[in-house]
Amino acid sequence: MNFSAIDPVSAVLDEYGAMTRKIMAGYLPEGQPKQHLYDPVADYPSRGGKMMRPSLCIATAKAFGAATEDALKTAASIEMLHNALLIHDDIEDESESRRGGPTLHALHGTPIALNAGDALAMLSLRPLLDNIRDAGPWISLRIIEEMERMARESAEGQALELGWRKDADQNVTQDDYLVMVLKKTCWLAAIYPCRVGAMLGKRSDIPADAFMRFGFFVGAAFQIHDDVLNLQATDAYGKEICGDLLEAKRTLMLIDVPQHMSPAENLRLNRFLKCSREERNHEDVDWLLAMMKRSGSIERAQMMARGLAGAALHEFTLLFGNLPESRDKAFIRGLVTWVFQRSS
Amino acid sequence: MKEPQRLRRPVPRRTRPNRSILGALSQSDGLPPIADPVDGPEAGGMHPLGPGFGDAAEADFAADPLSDSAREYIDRNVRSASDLIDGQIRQGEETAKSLGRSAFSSLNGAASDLPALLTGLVRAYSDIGTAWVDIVGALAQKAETAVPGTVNGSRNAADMPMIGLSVVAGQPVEASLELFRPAQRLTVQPLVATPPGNAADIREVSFEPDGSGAGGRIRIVVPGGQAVGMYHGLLLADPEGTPAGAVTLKILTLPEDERGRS
Amino acid sequence: MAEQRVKKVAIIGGGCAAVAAAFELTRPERNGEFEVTIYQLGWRLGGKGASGRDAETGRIEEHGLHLWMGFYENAFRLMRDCYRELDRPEGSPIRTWRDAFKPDNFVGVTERRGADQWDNWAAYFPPAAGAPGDPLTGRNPFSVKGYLARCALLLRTLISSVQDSYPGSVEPGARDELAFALQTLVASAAGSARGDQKEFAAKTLKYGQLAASALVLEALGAVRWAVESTAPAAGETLVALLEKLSAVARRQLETLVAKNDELRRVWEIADVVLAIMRGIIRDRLLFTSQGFEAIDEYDWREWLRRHGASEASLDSGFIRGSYDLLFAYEDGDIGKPRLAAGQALRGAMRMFFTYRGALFWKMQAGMGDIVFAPIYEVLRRRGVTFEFFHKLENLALSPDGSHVAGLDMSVQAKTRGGKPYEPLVDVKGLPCWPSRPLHDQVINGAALKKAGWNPEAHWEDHSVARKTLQVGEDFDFVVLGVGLGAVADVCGELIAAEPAWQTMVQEVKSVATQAFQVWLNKPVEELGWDLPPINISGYVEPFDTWADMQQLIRLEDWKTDPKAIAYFCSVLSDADIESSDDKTDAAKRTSRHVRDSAIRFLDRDVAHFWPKAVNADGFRWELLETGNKSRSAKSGKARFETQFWTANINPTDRYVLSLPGSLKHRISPLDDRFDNLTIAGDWTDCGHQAGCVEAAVMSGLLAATALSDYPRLSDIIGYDHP
Repeated sequence: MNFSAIDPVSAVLDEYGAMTRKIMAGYLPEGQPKQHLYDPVADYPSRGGKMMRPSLCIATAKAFGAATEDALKTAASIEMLHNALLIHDDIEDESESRRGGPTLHALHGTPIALNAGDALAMLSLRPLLDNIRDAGPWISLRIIEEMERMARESAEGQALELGWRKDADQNVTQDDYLVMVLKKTCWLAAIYPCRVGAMLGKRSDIPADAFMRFGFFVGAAFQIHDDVLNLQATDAYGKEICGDLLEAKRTLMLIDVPQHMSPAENLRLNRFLKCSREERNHEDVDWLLAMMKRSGSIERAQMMARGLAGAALHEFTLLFGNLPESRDKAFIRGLVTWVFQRSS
Repeated sequence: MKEPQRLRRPVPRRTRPNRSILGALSQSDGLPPIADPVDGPEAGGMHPLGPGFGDAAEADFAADPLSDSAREYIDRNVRSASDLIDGQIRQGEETAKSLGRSAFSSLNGAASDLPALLTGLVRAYSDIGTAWVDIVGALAQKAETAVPGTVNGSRNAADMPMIGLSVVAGQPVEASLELFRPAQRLTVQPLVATPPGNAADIREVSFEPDGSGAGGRIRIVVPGGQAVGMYHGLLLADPEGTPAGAVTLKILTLPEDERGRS
Repeated sequence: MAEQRVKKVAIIGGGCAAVAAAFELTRPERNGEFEVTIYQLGWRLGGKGASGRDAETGRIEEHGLHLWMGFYENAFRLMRDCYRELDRPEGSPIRTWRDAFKPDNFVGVTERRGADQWDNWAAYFPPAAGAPGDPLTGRNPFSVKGYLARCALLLRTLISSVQDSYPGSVEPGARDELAFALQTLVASAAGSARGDQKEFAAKTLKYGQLAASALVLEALGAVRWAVESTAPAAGETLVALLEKLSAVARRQLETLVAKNDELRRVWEIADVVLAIMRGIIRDRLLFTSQGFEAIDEYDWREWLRRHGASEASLDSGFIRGSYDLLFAYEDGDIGKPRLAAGQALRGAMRMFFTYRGALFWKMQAGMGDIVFAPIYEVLRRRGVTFEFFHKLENLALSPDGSHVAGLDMSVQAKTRGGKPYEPLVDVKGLPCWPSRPLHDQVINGAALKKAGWNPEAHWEDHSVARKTLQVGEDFDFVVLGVGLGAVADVCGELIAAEPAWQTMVQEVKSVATQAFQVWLNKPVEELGWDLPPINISGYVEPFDTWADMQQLIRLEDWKTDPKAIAYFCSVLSDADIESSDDKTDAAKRTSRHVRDSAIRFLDRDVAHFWPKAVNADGFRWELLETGNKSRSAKSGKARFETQFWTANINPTDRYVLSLPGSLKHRISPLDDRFDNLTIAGDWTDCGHQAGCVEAAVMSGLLAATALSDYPRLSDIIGYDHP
């Protein structure tokens, strides 16, 4: 059944996603070394994905007056960088599967996957350099500067999270979590695509803090919602997998739940956090999940995500309010709440 | 016995008020609704792209009833998140300031010189007659490759519309054109004196598309006796009506006598 | 977890800021985390807000006029919480906060027409929903956009009221020009596809409005869009068109207002409002993270002038009143009006656009009775210790300069039997502060009384003991809540150790003020005042402000009630303050100077308000109500001796100024240069940078946050504010 008619967001994602993929393919080299570099490099991009980031970039650019073609290279660059970071994330998380297949390092081993990730990140610069011909040197350089900022923020966010994982004793607060999400996720997912999209559309610079609030609220809402979904995903037997709990990933729920547990329960939690991943077992995970449900941590996280999405809608009005109505504007607005209407 | 530690104040999170306009979460001001809201024709009607677009998703999202305590929880926490992002924004600004420049400066200097460069290219003095100048849409590119002093247009990138500027004046004028984005058809707004004074507007302005459908010529006729000074006119892209550029005209000295009409 | 040890806080001073900090730190919800002692010189709390009761007549004697505004959210929250906790029994003369404060919707301004002609103008400000101190909804009343929209609404209301009174007054030519300007404005600002622009413009004109407001509102959204792009031409054009619009409007109105005073006043306000809007757009106050601080280097009038306000508007009673109410005269010299534009703008916006209930709220007794006695009672109940007659002489720093190690105190007097001093007296059922110390509680009281001992006088150094409080033993934290004037004296070590403190005491300035109060045996209506009871400002110097205080009559304890009470106040020039080595004598001479000014005022100038109070010889002195019979024997000017006047020259009684360029030198209570010290007062960097009760209360809350990370800054209403 074709849901596109009722779900305009999916339709736009499909369309812009396809266009982006086409351009991206042109930037994935086909030479040597093929087996150990360029095939792995092309792997994740070929597996699909929501293409939310490049679509947001294109839609913002168009909403501000650009033509679709003007934004495609930048969109391709974003998606390439996103995939490069996914490769690294999967290695750091020691994940086993990604988008319906084994992770890259599971397939090729960590050294090759790491190298492929690096290469893909570097390759993502190429389309931005080609922008100079189309959009002019001034805007292209600005976009590259924005990319540098975004990459730096992402790295800082990732470092924060890795640091917490390394040091189970560290007390992580809700604010700490939000700062980490801002840096690690929101910049790449929303702030950067919107900023460069707006620059492409307006063909001019934008204020230093433009889209930061919108991008933060949207990205954080998505991330928190994602974290909640992780606790709800089930395997073939209907059993909850809770990969994040096994990881002891610092989510809002994990930060919240200690405040609602007895000292004895907190002791058990601390022991769980201090173990290595192999030492943690499913009993503990089930117990922790039950604690979270009992204390309402999951519900509160969901409310938080909703609240942030509401805030994002507000910011949307401030940023896009004066622009003419268009499919792109509707898409961006719809994107804010779209993730809540889907369960994956 | 160990001496008890001397108490210290907690480290402050911040010591200054947050004075930015974006500093509070809800921008709804609690104002009474304005009596004559000036809405466009599509307000209150169906979304022009048909049903299924527009506010449906948002309405569903917003319509869910929330308990008071839930609302309060959300308000409080979202407000806290809002404080957080503002703090982050400010940190970014302060870091950049301490580095002595805006966080995103780069070529700003060079970019702002482009209009000046173009003004130089376009300078026209005339007694009687017209000056006809080519200006290409992709300005940056042109500035890179242009030889200073070349007035008549060189080859521009294919597909870029050519917008020309034609000024008819009985006095010496300097004209310049700035395009923010390539546009194929334009509407020219009357040129208004800046700063506003007693000078009349220059209203004989028009845009003549050339046959190709891409590009054309802006034509300005300056009436005799027009006051000396600077004039600005906005260029709107057709048909959206969005600003696409601006034309600046500087009238330099009054004519000695009344001749020189064209 | 650190042990839950009780934290001892020494609060020096007993004014608004200090007691607000104390009230906050000892809230029951905090479960006794802080143990507070308040050290206060003299016999009464209040600082600049202290008032006393005359022993014989129970009449209220104040430092001057204290106005509470409807936007004082934090101050009212404090008072409402206090009265609720105090829970006075039925039958108390001031039982609830609504007994204590009454809404007042009239504001008055005098205007000068020509050399000697004055007009009185009473403006009625409509009551607003709610009351200050009510919980705020999730909506934000403070956005700059909201102000601009309200300015525009106000403009439209003002102008359409003119338009409606004078239909057909728009010249045909002007209308065309206006239509054209409207069209161009709309077209060039088009960031959104407005259907048919011509129709839109025509529709707006059709409603007979000058449309400045509606269009500017429309344009505001577009301005933001246009100004954000780096195309300067677009922004310039827009401002140019705005100016064209206001030029057209101005031309139309000038013809109308030349003949009609009412209209002229309206136009002057509209003119100022337009200048404000222009200024906000041009100076990009919408987009800087500094908010209004960006223009604090300018004087208020200077900034308005730069943005096109006419000289006539700048000299209107409205603008002059804003300087008078804030005593904004450098060195007290009325030839030097100076007020930081950013704070003036902030204050004006808060005052006119965020008031709840009423624009002003009037206290129904002296400030000491209404504010400080209830707070004192609640704090006592909560276990706060009060040490009256304790004067701080020096704050001693630790050797490494990181914290306050000692407080050098002078004990001005000791109580008999070492009992706690009971400072309040009963006047007609209301607990009040007396005008003099209660000598019978004090050792050697009779002798001190005879010697005219005044422990509030800054040169009074009579001391019965000196002691030094030690950190760790006697206190953990210090809240310095003395007035600005004392800081240079008692904080020498801090000033030497920290350049920011040095700069602060140099740059943050104050002025002395003068005031007098008269009690009359005829009501003001019989004196010729035919407007409602009022506070009115903008008049001659000195004594540019008059407040009618008839609500106090029932609370005072006269044998024969007076029929009218009037307070007059204004700034006191530094040049008029006498100085000499004999400080007592200098103070007496300055006091006489104020008395003579008051007498001259009554003879010469009060006729403008009370024409019937004056005859060919001057003021009718027999109108003054004097109290007991022996005093009423006096006649003529000498009768004035029975009234009350004051020269507020003690350094800590001086009113804090918001001079252009000075606000950035203020220090915040949150600043932690000294790790166990915080400051509180309307001279600190507390968000609302003006001398007023609200600023003082905010600073007290900030002091509490400094010590405990609570309340959250976002709960201090108005702190995060453009």
